[in-house]
Amino acid sequence: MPTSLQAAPTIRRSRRKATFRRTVNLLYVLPALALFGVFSLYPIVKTVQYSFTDANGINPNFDYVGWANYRSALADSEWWHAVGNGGVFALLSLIFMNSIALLLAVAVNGNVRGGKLYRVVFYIPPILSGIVVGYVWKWIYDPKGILNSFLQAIGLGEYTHAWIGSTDTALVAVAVSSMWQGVGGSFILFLAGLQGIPKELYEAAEIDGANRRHKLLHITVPSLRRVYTMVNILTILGALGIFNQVYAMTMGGPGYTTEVPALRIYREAFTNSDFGMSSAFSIIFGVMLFLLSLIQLKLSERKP
Amino acid sequence: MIERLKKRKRPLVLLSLAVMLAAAGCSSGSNENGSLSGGATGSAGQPEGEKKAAETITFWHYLNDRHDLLVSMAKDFTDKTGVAVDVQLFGGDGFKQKIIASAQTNSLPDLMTYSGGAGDLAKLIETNSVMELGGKMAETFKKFPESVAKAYAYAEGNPFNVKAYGTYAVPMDTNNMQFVYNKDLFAKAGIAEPPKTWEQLLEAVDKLNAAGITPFATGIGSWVIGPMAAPYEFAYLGEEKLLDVKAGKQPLIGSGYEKVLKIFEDLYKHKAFAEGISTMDLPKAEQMFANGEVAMIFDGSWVIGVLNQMNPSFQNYDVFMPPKPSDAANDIKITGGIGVPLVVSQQTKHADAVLKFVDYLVAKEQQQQYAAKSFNLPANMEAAKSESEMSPALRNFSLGMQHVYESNGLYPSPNVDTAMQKGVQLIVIGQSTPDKVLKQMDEALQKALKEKK
Repeated sequence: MPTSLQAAPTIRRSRRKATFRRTVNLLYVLPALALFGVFSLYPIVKTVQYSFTDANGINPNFDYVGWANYRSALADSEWWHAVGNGGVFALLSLIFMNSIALLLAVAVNGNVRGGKLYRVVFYIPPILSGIVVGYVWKWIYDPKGILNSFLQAIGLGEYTHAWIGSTDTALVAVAVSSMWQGVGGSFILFLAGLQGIPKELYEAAEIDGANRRHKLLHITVPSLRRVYTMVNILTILGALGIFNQVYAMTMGGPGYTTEVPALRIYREAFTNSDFGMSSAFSIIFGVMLFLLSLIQLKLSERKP
Repeated sequence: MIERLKKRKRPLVLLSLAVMLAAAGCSSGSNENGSLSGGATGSAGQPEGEKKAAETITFWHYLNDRHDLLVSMAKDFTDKTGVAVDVQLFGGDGFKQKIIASAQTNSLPDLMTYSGGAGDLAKLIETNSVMELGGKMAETFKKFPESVAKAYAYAEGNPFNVKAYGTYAVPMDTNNMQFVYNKDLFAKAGIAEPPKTWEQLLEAVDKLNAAGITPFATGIGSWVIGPMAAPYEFAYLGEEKLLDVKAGKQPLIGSGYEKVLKIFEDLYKHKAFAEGISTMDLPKAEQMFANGEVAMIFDGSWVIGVLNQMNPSFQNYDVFMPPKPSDAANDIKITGGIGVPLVVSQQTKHADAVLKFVDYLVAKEQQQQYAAKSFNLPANMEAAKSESEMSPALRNFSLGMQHVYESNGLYPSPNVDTAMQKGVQLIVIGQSTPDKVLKQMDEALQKALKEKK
């Protein structure tokens, strides 16, 4: 009898064993898949479904209204105003928050004394609740709050202001609180990126006579390209999706000065009980964020 | 061999354990003992060793300041009837959302305080989530003022299109909203008595400013604009016209509504508002008032309890009705009604016990206890009348109940109210005008009417 035929039952058995093991292994993934399906996939599918209905969020019976919610949403000037405000938050965050985060990361990475402590301190704001941060900053910005008191104490009393109660400063004031909370997140990512840059590059540059500025511009910044992309995407998504601080500090006021997309979506659902409209806004907003991320990714893939 | 078998089966055993654990964690189960704990949840669970109650009803509420009182009342009820009540507090702004989510999943508690207006409750009625109480508790409803009992009653032709006519909430207390003023600051500014007309109010504002006192604050940044505008909607438009205008049966522009918005402009022009008014919430205004930083606030009768908590030594304040402008043809009516509505789940398995507990909560004795400890106006008329040691403020709030309107109408879309709120936030800082805001409201109204068609 040929050897292969003799070994056939053994091979079959080991194949069966492998299949069994694979099946068992797949079962291990099931809980995670089930959680993903129930808490991520199902809500997305339901949101898409609701966006074509007049659902009020309570009654399980609703009518399909076709594209009416989308038409109404796209023609809503206040919605686009809110998106514009989100854009301002994103722009300010990209320019100021990420620059500060990068500078802090470079400083901490440069073996400053107490570097580990700074790492912890800078990461405290991101782990705080956004609502708590909002209320703390509301208190800081209060007409009789510590910011105005500080300005008065240093002789700048003429600059005291109702920071979040005035149309000319409310948006920037909320943005500052949001950036204060977000800077730690970008800082940690930049720091991780910096620590991944091979030290040999700096040593070689030093031998070639490069100074600090040269090393920053020609080694650090180009090496952080991928980190930049990720940080920028996260910053844009975070800034456009801002809700907690606005909810706690201004509720979108004065007027529509600090209105943001997430607040509008929330209001449609829970104040107006129009889950259909709210879902349509959510889908439009989701698609916008997806496209923005895609553009950013494509741009980062281009060779310099 | 056994070892190998054990090894082979180990993953399966582990997996089974994981599934069992997950199933145990996900299962809702029944909470017959009713003693939940943790987070913001409180419980009126019975002490150990006490006899187990025959049945337990679950009661959700959002009244942070009255939790202990409700727990003690529930305990007293248990002692008398043997029915345990699991009183659970869910404080904060998310209570309404919690009720909506629970209604969606058919997991409403047996009894709940309701956070929302008649329009919001209508959605729960539509889904048969809450119980009609008018028929079952007809005798109980006789204890309340008519306007209060009717606050959550839906009759034929109701604006919310509720078809299952009836009454769906029992009032645990009542409230209304008026101007509250600091007597000491008024005296300091040389104002002898509270204003009776709008013009007198503006004069008082000028005098307060002249005395270096900030005249007025309220929650312009949150929900207070509507209730503050309501008395002037009645004064300028009259009830019939107001309801027609809001329903879109009469045009908004040219209805006289711009005069309603003008009261906010008047206050701005007379420099009445505290700094930061446009995004100010009511708790902030209350805090300023309690600290003597502003002379007047527009607030509800619950403010008495709030002020008592914030600054117990501050007692020299009183209340006055929103003063009527001389050019207004109709009487002032104020916002008010049920403060805390009690709503029963349609799915409750303990209907008799729940209704008995509701009846107990609104009985004269409990209502007197409730009013004395929480500084809220009792819903039970007998309890309200027998309250002999009311403070002047509480008495004036109580008298205000006679002027509470039943309904100030409903726009076809809440977006019209939003347009008004956002517009007024700009009027009070001089960044918009009544005409401009009226135009924005009309645009939202026309859009809503078009969509309705």
